[in-house]
Amino acid sequence: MTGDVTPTPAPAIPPTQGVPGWPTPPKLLVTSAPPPDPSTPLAPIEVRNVSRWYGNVVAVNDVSFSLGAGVTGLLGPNGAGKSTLLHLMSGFLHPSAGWVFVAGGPAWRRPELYRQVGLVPEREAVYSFLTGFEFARFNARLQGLPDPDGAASRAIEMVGLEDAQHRQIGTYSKGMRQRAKVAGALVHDPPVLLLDEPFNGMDPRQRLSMMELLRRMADEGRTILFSSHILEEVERLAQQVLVVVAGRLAASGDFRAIRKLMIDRPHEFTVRSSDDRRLATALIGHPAVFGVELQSGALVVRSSDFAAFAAAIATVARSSGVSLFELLPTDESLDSVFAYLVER
Amino acid sequence: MIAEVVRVTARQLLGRRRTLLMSLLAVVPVLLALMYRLGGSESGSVRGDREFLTGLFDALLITLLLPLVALLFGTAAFGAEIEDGTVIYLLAKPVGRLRLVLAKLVVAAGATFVLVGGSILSAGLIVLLGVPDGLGLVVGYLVGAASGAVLYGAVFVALSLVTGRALIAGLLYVLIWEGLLAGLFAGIRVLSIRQYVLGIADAAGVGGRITADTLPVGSAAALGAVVLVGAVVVALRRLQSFEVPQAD
Repeated sequence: MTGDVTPTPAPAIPPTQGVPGWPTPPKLLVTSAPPPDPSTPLAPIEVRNVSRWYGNVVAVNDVSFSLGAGVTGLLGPNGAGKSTLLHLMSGFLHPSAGWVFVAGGPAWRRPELYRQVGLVPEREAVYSFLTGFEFARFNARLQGLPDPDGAASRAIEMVGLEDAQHRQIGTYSKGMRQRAKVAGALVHDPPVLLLDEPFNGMDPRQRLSMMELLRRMADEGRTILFSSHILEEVERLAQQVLVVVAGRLAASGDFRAIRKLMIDRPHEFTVRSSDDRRLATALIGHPAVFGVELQSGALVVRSSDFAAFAAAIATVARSSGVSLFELLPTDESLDSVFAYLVER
Repeated sequence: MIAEVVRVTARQLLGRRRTLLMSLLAVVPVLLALMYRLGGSESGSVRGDREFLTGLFDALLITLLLPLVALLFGTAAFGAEIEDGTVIYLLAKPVGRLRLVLAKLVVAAGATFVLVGGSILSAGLIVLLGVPDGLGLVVGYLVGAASGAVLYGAVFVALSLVTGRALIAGLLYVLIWEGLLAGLFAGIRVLSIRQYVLGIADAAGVGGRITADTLPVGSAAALGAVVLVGAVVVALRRLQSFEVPQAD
């Protein structure tokens, strides 16, 4: 993957240039980079300087990366542009600028792409009048597989839906519907899998089992990209991550390096006590604390080490003769974590 | 592949409440025919039977029921899947988009013809049983209904890919354009599917013209072919450039 833990600046966007051998981009399209030479080998997923806007709203802003075999997590808060990116990669949106290549060719307006790609969309709706098996077989038949029944049975078995395969999908739980969708995406054994929030609605056991399946498929050489807004989900499955915030690629690369950045960022706590001023004096001498601020009726403490501060606060308060009434981490949302990454 | 799309689309359409409503509407002409046969004042005279049936077929079945049924089936063939997002399972397949359009058209036109044609056949047999040349009238309208199912079906399938408000746009076309304006201004007839249907029905009827003042069959067929090809091309182009609605 390109660009290790690097925020990506937005370059100026010059007009489109056509390249022999590739489809002429629509007139609307502008790009800051020429498309790659079709004779050179491409990674299974290549995204180059891609932007997508809707009127005045920019959903994806000059994003570039390439993905090879393995599991990659697409991480970002709700509304960050994850689904837009996945739709661009799966050929369901055309880029307003830039290029998207999947499985050796452009993603937009190329139905043959879907021989190589399995797609699990985020929307929950599946043909509710079909059984799980019929849905998998529907996918197998449209893929033109020689033995659609056999392929459907194998896919159903892979996602562990054997017991419910002859029930209508309309009677499934949310987690079962997700598994039916995954079965439909796997039925033709594609080398590239794009999954939009695949663990939504799954219980912990189903989640583990699906993670195991995806890990196994990645080990067999497939390129798997899944989106999630849950950090822990990505941490458990993905070796590589792409972090998207407000349509921009905030960070990309090895998960542990990005996670460390997230952990190392300053934490903020609101403390209410019997004597905020005395507590502030005591806390400022502690190595885990690098800032205190007295506000009306509360003390705001900034710490570089979440765990060390949490362990020290009670001891410091007791030794100062101060009673603690309330201790609240004030800025622990994923949005704030991502925002921190963008601001760096 | 097309057979699978046809099967799934048909199951999807048949499971909708609208289909039941349309089926009930299709029974109305049959009930009217029964009432006529059992007690109408001119019931039994050849002329009276033909006039009643022509009026029933023309005013109720071809003018109202055919476009309405085609509108519901045509706009739902893709529209229902676009609305609930399941269309992505159809489009994320290595299947030519023309084949998908044709599969949807087959279902929309087929379902429309089954309902409207069934109604025409049943009402016709009830009224004209044993009347000389009676079958010619029914055959003419059946052929007209078949051509109308295909033409309206194609237009409404295309419309569902052009706008999210295909049902309203289609209703406006049927009620305002065809129902009102085409009756007031003769020039509009050449841009009315209903007129093509009547022209074709007239020519296909056995035993002489079944309605007066229709478009010549050559013009009706040629204009109908233009509409059919145009609608399929529009649907194809829209489907080739289909984008999912903004998600985030």
